[in-house]
Amino acid sequence: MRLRLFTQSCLLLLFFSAATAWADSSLQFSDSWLRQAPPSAKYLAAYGELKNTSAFDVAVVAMSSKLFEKVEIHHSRFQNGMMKMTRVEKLTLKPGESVVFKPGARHLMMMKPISPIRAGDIVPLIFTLNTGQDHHFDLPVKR
Amino acid sequence: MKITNNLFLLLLIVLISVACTGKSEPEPLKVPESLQGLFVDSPATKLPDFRFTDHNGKLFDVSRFKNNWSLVFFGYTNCPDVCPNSLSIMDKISKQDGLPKNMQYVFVSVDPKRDTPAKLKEFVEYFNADFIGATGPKAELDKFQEPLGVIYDYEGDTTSGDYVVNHFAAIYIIDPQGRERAYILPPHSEAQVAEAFKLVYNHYK
Repeated sequence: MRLRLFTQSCLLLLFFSAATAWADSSLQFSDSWLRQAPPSAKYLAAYGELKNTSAFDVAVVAMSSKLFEKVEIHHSRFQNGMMKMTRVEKLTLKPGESVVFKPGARHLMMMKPISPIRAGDIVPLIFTLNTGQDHHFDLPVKR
Repeated sequence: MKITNNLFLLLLIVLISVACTGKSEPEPLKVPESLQGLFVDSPATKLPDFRFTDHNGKLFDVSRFKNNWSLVFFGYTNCPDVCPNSLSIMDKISKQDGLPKNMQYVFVSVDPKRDTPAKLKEFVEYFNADFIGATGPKAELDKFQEPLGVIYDYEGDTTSGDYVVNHFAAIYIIDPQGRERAYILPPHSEAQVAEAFKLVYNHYK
């Protein structure tokens, strides 16, 4: 009986560590870049393609970068030529689904840089999922 | 004989009217279906009588459009996505061939509270040292609402300065008589804006 409980615990542990390993590689951020702005710019934008490579739904609930005070997902929309920007609270991705962050559409709004960001710099970015896990990426700064 | 006289009279009237207006209004430009977002004003729309301040602190009024072909974009310098994109497209276009020599690029801020001449200077010169930045008080900016459809509003806390600006984001083509000839709706690409401008310029120059 005891042995059975032990086996079960082991299996459970194995399952969770496997799940963790899965989740660790569950997010891919490719072709990413941050647009350099004039030195005193308080708001910058970053782009790229975010893909859920896991077999589960994932939701991005927060983002951060040690070089910025705040990072949010924003969506620029054009309605009859009028540009409106709205904040995206939560981004859910189905297995295999990807979203593209690009100019004039969904983008990462990098707010209030701690110091000026220049082309050639590398900016670290963290996506936090609803599971509590952090995913780290490095974004090159381009003009 | 009477017909010849009438024809002569008609020709005279046409000649006089052309001489008075400088140029007769050409046939409206036909925009090819493959070109997205270009809308031509036929006849051209007169700009309002406005007074802005440019990025060097000088008066910027309708006279600054005279004798130049201009690409004009209304936005704000704290705009992280759309405005830098359209301005960098305008910069790329400025380096292309086939453009008139008397060409200028103007960025008008609809956020005069935050966009001082110094801030405008840093912003426009970041994209191109020859670009012009301008803004004016709300009453002056609002003069563009009726003739050009420039609308904007603020979202967020305008007292703390933490707000975004929703704004009409077209690129306007202003002719050397200081009139709106056309506008190009976003989203913008270099190929689209260049093709649109060259089409309008070659038709109406």
